[in-house]
Parts: sequence; structure tokens; C-alpha cells
Amino acid sequence: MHITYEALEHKPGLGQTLKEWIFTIDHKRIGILYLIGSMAAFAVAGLMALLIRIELSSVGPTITSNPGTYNVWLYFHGAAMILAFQIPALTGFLANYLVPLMIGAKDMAFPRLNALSLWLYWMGIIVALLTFVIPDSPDIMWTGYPPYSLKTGGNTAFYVFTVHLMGFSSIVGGINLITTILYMRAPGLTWNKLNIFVWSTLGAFILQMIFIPVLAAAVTTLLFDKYLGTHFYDPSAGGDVLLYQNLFWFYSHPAVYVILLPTIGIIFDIVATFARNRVFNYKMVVYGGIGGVVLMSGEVWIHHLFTSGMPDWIRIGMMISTLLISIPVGLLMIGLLGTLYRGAIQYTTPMLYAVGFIFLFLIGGLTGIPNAMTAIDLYIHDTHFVVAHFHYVMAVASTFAIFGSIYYLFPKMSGKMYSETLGKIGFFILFAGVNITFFTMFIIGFKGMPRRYYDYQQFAHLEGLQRIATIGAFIIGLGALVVLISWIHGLVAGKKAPDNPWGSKSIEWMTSTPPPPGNFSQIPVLSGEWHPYGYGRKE
Amino acid sequence: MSKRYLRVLSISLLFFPITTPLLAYEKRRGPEEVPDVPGGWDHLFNEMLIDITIVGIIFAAITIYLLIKYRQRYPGQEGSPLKLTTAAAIGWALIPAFVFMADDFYLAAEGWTLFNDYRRVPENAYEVKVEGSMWSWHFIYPEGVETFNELRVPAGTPVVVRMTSKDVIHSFFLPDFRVKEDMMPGRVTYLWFYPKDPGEHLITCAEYCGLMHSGMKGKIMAMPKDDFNNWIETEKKNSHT
Amino acid sequence: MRRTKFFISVLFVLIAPEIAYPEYGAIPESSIDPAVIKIDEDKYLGAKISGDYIFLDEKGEEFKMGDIMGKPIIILLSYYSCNGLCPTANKKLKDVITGLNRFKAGEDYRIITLSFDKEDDILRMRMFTDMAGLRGLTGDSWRIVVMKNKDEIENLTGSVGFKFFWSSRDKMFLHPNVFIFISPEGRVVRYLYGTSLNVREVELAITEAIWEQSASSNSKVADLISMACYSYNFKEGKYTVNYPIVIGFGSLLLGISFISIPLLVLRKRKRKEGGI
Repeated sequence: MHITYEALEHKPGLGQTLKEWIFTIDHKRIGILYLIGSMAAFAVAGLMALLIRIELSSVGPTITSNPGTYNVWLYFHGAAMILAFQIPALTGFLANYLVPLMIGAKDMAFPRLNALSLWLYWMGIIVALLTFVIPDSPDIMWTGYPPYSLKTGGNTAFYVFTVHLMGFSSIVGGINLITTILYMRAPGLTWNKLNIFVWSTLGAFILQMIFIPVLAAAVTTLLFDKYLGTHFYDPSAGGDVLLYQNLFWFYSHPAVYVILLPTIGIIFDIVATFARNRVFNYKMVVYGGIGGVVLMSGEVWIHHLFTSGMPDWIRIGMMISTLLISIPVGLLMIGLLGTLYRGAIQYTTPMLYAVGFIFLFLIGGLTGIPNAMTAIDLYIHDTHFVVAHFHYVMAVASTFAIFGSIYYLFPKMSGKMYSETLGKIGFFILFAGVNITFFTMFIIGFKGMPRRYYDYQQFAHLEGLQRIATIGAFIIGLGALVVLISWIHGLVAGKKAPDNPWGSKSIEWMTSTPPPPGNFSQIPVLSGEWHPYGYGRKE
Repeated sequence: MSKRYLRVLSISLLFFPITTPLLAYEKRRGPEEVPDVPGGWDHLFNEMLIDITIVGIIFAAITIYLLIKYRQRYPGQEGSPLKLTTAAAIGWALIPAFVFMADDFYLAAEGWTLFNDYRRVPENAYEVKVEGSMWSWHFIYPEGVETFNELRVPAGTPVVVRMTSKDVIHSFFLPDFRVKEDMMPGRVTYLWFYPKDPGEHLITCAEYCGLMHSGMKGKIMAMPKDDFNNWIETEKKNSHT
Repeated sequence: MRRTKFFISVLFVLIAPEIAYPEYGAIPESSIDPAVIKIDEDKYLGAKISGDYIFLDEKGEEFKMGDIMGKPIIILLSYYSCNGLCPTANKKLKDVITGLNRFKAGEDYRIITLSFDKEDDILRMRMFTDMAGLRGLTGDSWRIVVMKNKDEIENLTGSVGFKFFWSSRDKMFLHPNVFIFISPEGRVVRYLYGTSLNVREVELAITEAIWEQSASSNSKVADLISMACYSYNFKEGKYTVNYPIVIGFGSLLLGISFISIPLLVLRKRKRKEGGI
């Protein structure tokens, strides 16, 4: 690398520090800025979720008499949680912060490109947040299906620009990260010695780069249709409304795996570290699990369109392919359980989150099977059942992984230790809250209530269950607050952290805490014996 | 686990995915009989629930067992992993994969049978056209009668609705009949249902369509055949005058 | 556009026999609103034709609509005393299907030319066959017929939304110049208009008619592709390229090419490294 790091050394003065942070090209700082952005998005979108839950706590209008306002909340909750929180937190924060450290690199391959992708991301967040400022807030849900998104008075352009900015940011980040992983590994770090997280990030970015352009094309044509008078999706002029849904889900289903892969990757790292054990059947996990998910993720998107009037034979075909994706995912689960086997498990906060992830992901994954079955799906599609399913499997499970990884990396990032007590209290509150909310939603959905309902006169008998879900949502809110307090407490009053508080063998813990600019005072030298998961006695 | 044993096991497992769908094969019914789709749905869903509960409990029990059994007993305790032989490593990948695949194919075969019932419209079904618009349903009967938000059908006759939309995408959702299908401009979609007995059933919209999405509801009124015929006749006269 | 199309076809009907009235609408009597005979496609697409109608062919043999169902059918509604549009439309269809290689008349689809004029009989039908140059084509694949029970004509035309009326001043029928594509089970799949009829249009419409029965297993991958790449344009009354799928494919290729960037960088750097 030809970048000099002298310029990045700490200098006193708040203005100077701020400037240093804003114009930083250091991957660790970029990662932390990603984290701050995604947490801000999480907070606002989480607030929306609370508003939505309050609105649903009783039949009829509850806190707003305008369904349009409610629809804007729904839009923002979905779009921000996926585009501005989960994907950036996993592929922005975690990947940026961890990957160069994990592979023993001084920085990313293209540090300035990295800064560009961060800036694009922040602009995306700003555009997304403008939703609340402009008079015609988008109300098109995060899917933006035409013709509704073309006919509505809501602003489709802000949605499209948010997608564009986040997409560009991801592609730039992807090129950077893949190059980094391919080229900048420390000497002696062979492919079979990479952390699972590095592998999974590589898989996630391959998916991002292949499929994002399709989403960009879909939303761009949407923009042209709405503001430039083209007829891409106007059925009366040769357009096809179904095509948008196909293009959209052709990206957005792989996007689920973009979220899942880094999630499960970091969980593997946490579990291996705290179980003091090697990753069970490493090659199966990497090539069978991660590789299988990457290969199969592009062939299942029609299960989002099971009720959309696609030809019957496509629905059957995609039912089978969707069911088959349980194979690589099942292998990943077996890898996790096998890692626990004969381990010596330490129950720290990150490990609790990892254990929570296993259970949540189990529930979410298994309830995916009824959804995958075309015939069953004809009833539960677009009901709360689906909402509960994807919250378990994607939203909550990966949020647990993100929180767990923040606790895991807290000493490394801040140089201080968080309070285990506060961390554990936060975990248990969150775990209770998500199960109360989302398990109730399974029942609501099973009883037939569709999603995205502002009012539910026709399902008035479900009011009691909706209330339970709302109570659960507040418990989640409380849990999130405790988590936030534990972080602030750790930052302010935490004890100084040692270099390697978890006794990890992985490279990122070999450097000092927090890592200096340039990461390693000298490039780590890895012996032939070394393995990131080389824990335990060898027998 | 000896290699030979493993080989035999994996070969027999290879056939497992092929044979299990046969278990799901059900007897063909006569052409006259109208399949009981909601009943079939309930049956399949229950079966599925049992399936995923069993898998879930097995996984959860193993996890809890591992979590308790292998907790760290003293500070500094390290794990004591066993070394996987190549054969065992491959076996641990292939055997679960085949078990999952077998379960998948079994479920797929079951789901396929039911899905065929969903899509194969019975002969002589009573055909009604439905047009969705923001935010109501417009029904056009073969006799030329038209109604809004209220679909009257003869009980004991399968009914097929052929659907389209005037403006945005809606979804014609009949919770009681366990079926829904989107309606969209420029395409015609269909679904069928079988109101066995007279009674009322809910129709509700399941695809986000704007402000009044949740208020887009209607009802199906299944009437005794004679009442229905009388009603159609009266309506026909009314619409002509 | 859609409206203009009907203007054009109505104009054609008016102009063809006697090139008069150069400016449409100039003479009050002829200012027939084309909307009167316009087919309400939204309403009639998917409408089912009963299989019970009985037709008489040239030889006077009777057969039922239901007998020829089971394959896509192109229905051409004409009247046999016509000496302008109707023979022209029939000739045009004949020209188009001779250029159609993907589907063979008789094997893959059938055509019927049916008179909606109650006055038409077998004799007129024969004269019309000669005039339109259809002699020889007829047989199982293309049948030129009249309705056996003339009172049922309006039921049939009504069920597919086809409107016509006699203009006593012009001594002719006014009717849309339309080819109706019927699915194997007897549903209206597509209306194509004479002005834009060509081989590709017919091929796509027949494909769509076959696909109406989605269970059909003899569908081919080529059909899937052409069905995905073209969609019917109601405004222009013909099939047009489905641009988003082209754009989607282009962007997928772009995405795949992004992956190659890191690989190229890698190769370049390695070479550099090797050089040093």
C-alpha cells in the first residue's frame, strides 16, 4: 500500500478531531461512522415500529386518524430498517471494521473509495430521513410496486434516490472489499484459514454486486414512468406490472441472504470464541453452507410472487427450489451446534446474543417452510404470518447478531469494557420482547389478518392479540434503551480493556486496543499451525 | 464409523429423497367430486406444523443440552474438540443434506397435490367476473347482473372468479376458503372456491393499495340455489327496466 | 393512440369501396363515432365462447364450435357481400400465416371465418371464398362458415364484444377490422387489428393462447423467452418489446461484470509484484 498513515495520527482540538473523522479514510473510523448512521436509522425506524404498534393496539383510529400517515410510517420502517440499518450495519460497519483486521491488512485496498461509499451511504440516510420533511412523503412501502407507486400522490423519487445511493454505496464497497479479501491477506493466511465472517462477507458482496444493478434498473424505470411519462409498467401501453415485482424480488430476495450471511458469519466467530472450540466441519460450513446459499439465492425469488398471478409451473418450480435452500442453511445450523459440542462455553453478553440468534433463527427458519409451500402460502401470503416470519429470520435474528457483535467488538473499538450486568439485562428484555411481539403475530397471521392494515374492523376479534404484540413492542423498546445505556455506560465509565479480552486466536485481536492507524505495528506473521479457530486441546 | 458403513448409508440415503414423495401420493378422486381445498389446507398445515415442531424441538433440545453440558466449568477451560476424519466430515455434510432434501421433497410433493386442487377449476363452476378498483369490488355475473362489494353465489356450486383491476394491484383474499390471488390491470387471474352451505364469508384486500387498503372489504353470500335463482331473476328484471 | 386506431380502421371501412369523403367528419351523416364499434378489451378479454354454436361450412356440413376447440382458434368475423375490407382482411391473414413457421395451421391452431350477416348463405360464402382467394386453403385448418341458427349470431358476437351495424346510406356494415384469438378452452385471449397484423404478432398471440392453459406441457423455452420479451400494448393494438426485462438483463450482466473488477485488479497487481 502506498498510503501514509502519518496524516491520521491523533491531534488535539475538537474541530480538528471532527475534521479528522469526517474526512477519514481509515477503515476503522469509516466502520464506526457506518455504525453511527445505521444506529440512527435503527432508532428512527424503531420509533416508527412503535407508532405502528400503538396504532394497531385498537380497532379503528388510535393515534392518527389519517391512514396516509400510518402508511408513511410503514414505508419508512421497512425501507430504513433494510436499506439504512441492516445492510449497512452488516456490510458497512462490520465488514469495514473487521475484514481488514481479520485478514491482517493495514487498510482496505482503496481507502478513498471506502470513504466515497460511506459518504454515499450518509447521503442516502439524509434522503431517507427527508421523508418526514417533504409534504408528499412516500407511502409506497419499501417494495414500491407499480401501478400504486405511479398513481399515488406520495413522492416516489425519494424512494428511488435512497435506493440508488445505498446501491452505489454497496457496489463501491463491494469492489473494495472483494479486492481487499483477494489481495491483501497477511502472508500465510490461506483460504482455508479465513474467518467464517470473512467468507460470508465475500459471499454477501458477490450477491450485492450481481443483483443490485437489477434493483437499480427496476426503480429507475419506475422513476421514468412516474416523472418522465414513459410506459414501462403501464399495462395499457404495453407495460407489465408483474415485471417490476420480478425485477424487484430478483434483487431483494438475494438481499435477504446479503443480510443473513454476514449475520451467521459473525455468529460463528462469536460462538467459536466463547465456546473455546474450533468451528465444526469448517469446509462444510464454508463451501456447503455459505457457497450453497450464494449459489441458490438467485433462483427462489418467485416465492414472493406466489399469489401474484405467475404461471402455475413457475410457482411449483420455485417452491421446490425454496424448500431446497433449507439444505445449506441447515448445514450452517449444524455447524453452529457442532461448534458448541465439546466446547467450554463462556456466557458473556455477545455469547448470549449468539445463543439468542440460534433460537430466533430456528423459529424463523422453520416457519419459512410453510411459506415456501405454494399451497399453504396462498392463505398466509401477505398476512401477519409472513411479517412474523421475516422479522424472526431476518430482522430480529440479524439485529441480535449486530448487537452481539457490537458487544463483542466493544473493547476493540472503544478500548473500554462494557458492563456485563447491563448487557445481560438488555439481552433478556430484548429476547422476551421479540418473542412476545412476533410469536403473537404468527397467530394473528394464521387467523388471516393481512399486513399493512391501518384498521381492522373485519378482524376485530384479534384486538386482544394485537395488544399483546404492542406490549411486546414496548418491551423491545425498553430493551433497546437498556442496550444503549449499557454502551454509553461502557464508553463513559468502562474499565480499560486489555488487547485481547476474549482470548481469541483470530488476527483482529493480535493488535493493540484500540488498533492504531495502520492496524498493526508489524504485519502479523502466521505460523503453519495457526488457525483463527485453533482453540482447545488437540486430540 | 467405518468407511464401508458410511458408503452403504449414503447410497441408501440417495434413494431416500426419491422415495419419500411417493409417501405423499394420494388417491386420485373422481372427476365429479369437488375437492375440499380448505380442508386440505388445514390438514396440510397441521401436518407441516407437526413436522416443523418436531424438527424445531429436536434442534432446540440438542442446543439446550449442548449449552448446559458444555458450559465452562472453571476459568481458562478450553474446548476439547475431536478431530474429524475426512469420511466423517463428508458424512456430516452429506447425511444432513440428504435428510433435509428428503423432507423437502416429501413436503413439496404434498404441497404440489394441494396446489393442483387450488388451480384446477372444477367443471361447471359458476363463473363471475370481478374488477377491483380503489377501494371496492365490482362483480359481474354471467347473467349480466352487477353488484358491488357483495358477491352472491349459489351454495353447493363451485364458483370461479376471473379477476382484473381498474387501477392498482389488489388481492382478492377469502380467509374462510384459504385462498387469495392478486388482481392487476392488464392481466386476468383466477381463483375458485366452493361454498358448500349457505352463509356469509369475508372478502378482504391483501395487497397494499393505498389509503383505504384496510377498508377494502366485502362479503360472499352463499344462498340456497332457489333463492339465488330468484334473486338473479329479479335483478335481471330490475337492470332491464 | 387506441382511439386513433379505431379511427383508422373505421376510415378504412368507409373509404375502401368508394374513395369519397376525404376528410373524416366533414359530412355530418358520416360522422360516426368510432367508439360505437370499439371493442371494450378490458371487459371482453377472458370472455368464454360457448362450444354449442353450430356452423355450416361450404359443403353444407354442420359442426359445433366445441368440435374445433382444444387448439387456439383465430376468429375472423366478416360478411360475405363485402367487397372491400373483409376479403382484404382474409387475404392479409392468409399472407401472414404462410410466413408463419413456428405454428402450422391445422396442427397447432385453427382459423374460422364467420359471417355475422344474417342474409349470408352457402352460395354467397362460395363466391366470397373465391373472391378472397381462399380456395384451397380451406379444410380442417381454415373453415369459412355461416351460422346455422342465424338468431344466435348476435349472442356470439356479443360474447366477444364485437359490434357491427348496417349503414343504409353506405350500403355496408360498419365493424372493427379485428382478428380474435381464442384459447384452446374457448376464451378470448387477444384482439389484433388488421392494420398491424404481421407474422410476429400472430405468433405471439397464438403463443399466448396456448399459454392461457398454463398446464400445457408442450410449451417451449423459446416461447417463454418471447412471451417475456414482448407484451401486448393496448394503446397501439400490437405487441411491443417489454423494455424492463431487457434493461433488467442488461443490468444483471453489468452486475456480473462488477465481480470481474476485483479479479482484474488482482491480476494486474500480481503482475506488477512479479515485475518488482
